[in-house]
Amino acid sequence: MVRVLILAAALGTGMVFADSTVSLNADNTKITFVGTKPKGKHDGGFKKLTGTAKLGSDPTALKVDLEIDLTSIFTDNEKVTNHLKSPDFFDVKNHPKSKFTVTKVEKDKDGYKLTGNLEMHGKSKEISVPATISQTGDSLKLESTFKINRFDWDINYGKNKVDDMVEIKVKIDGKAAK
Amino acid sequence: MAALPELSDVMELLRAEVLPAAGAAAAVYFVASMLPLVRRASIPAALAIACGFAAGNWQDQPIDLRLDSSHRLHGSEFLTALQSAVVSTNGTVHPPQRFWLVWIVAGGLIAHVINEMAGNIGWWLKLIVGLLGGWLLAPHDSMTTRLVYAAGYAALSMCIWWVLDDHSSGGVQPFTAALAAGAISILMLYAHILRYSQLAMIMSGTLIAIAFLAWWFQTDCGAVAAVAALGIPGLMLLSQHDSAIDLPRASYSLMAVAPVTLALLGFVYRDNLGARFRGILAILLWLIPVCASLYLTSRVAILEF
Repeated sequence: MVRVLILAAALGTGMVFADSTVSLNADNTKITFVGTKPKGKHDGGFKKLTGTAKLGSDPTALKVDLEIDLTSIFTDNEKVTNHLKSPDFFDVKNHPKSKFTVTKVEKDKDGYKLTGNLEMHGKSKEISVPATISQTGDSLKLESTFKINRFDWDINYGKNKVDDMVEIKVKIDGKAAK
Repeated sequence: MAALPELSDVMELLRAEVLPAAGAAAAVYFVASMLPLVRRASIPAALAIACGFAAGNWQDQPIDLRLDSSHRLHGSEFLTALQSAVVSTNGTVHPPQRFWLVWIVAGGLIAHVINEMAGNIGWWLKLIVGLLGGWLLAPHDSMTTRLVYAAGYAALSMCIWWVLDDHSSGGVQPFTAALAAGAISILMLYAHILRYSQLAMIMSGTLIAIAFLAWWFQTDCGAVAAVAALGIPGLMLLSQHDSAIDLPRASYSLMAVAPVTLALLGFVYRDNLGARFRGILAILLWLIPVCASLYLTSRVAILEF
């Protein structure tokens, strides 16, 4: 009887861990960006992405893996969309995917700080970004707005015509599958 | 109806790329043509092409000559990357294929000059550059794909080189190549790849300067054939692979093979035609497929500025 109880407890614990993984997709995860230039700006985002967010006992134990399909990029202007796909920017024929892997989550004064590797355009670079994380049971809400310098990933076309810094917004609102 | 580009953008393109390329090419071609040791064969044209590209690419750097943006290109780094690109079978490569284009053309210029000075060994060098060029520029999808591209690129390059060797003096060849490069820059606008469009305009500015001086002094500018034989097919190969816009394959192919049409001049008896008429005929023959390419493109895509 005791063995059965221990086995049931172990299985139960395992199920809790299994359930605490949120599958990320375009429905529960939105990645948008704002690209600016001296004469204006363009809003855009990505329509396809996959990944997982593994929930821990608290937000600092969070692990996120995200793979973005760069060919699914969209903007407010079709010409700009095609130009962003070209070798001038993302070069999607040669680099169709971008990956973001969160390696560390730390408590910050206003929320949390996510540290991870952003792989894009054939280059990987560690970045740290601010985020607000709300973890309730098996649901996860994460929001982060930050800027990256495109030159850090050798996306170096159009110096002085297109601004170096790009604002990125990430919003996750997901729940672990039962 | 295609909109016209903004005047400020045109002026900026002229100021930053076309005029520096043309100015540098003209100055180098003029000076090199005067120097006793350098003025032999195609050396002035080869030097002018190299300097024209360097000057035109200087400010905006549409074609990055560095492998790592944080420091200047080192010789050992270049050789390691070249070795890696030659043996690589991976689908994604660094540096991207476009990095090698200017180096392939530079190799072609050297091979062309050697060919003029040392005879047939130059043709073997041209063949090696053509094969290596096709191998480096081809998509790294599979070994078969790369072999087919390398063989096709080398074969086309040799054909263009062979045809253009008959038109190496007097400015017709660089003038027509400059017009073709201008048309290529429009094709690249259709393909939404501005860096390739800028490269084509740099090419055009360089060649128009050489054409004017070669016509004025009636000097040799056969090295332009290296640009036409390696640069134009290379740019077409890259564009077709890299563009996110589905332009007709014929648009790229016609632009790439256009110089070969000059072979038709071989069927015209030289004695029956004056040099001027032959020159006009050569220009028309090259530009017919170029215009056909733009026409086919304009039927499926919209030119936006």
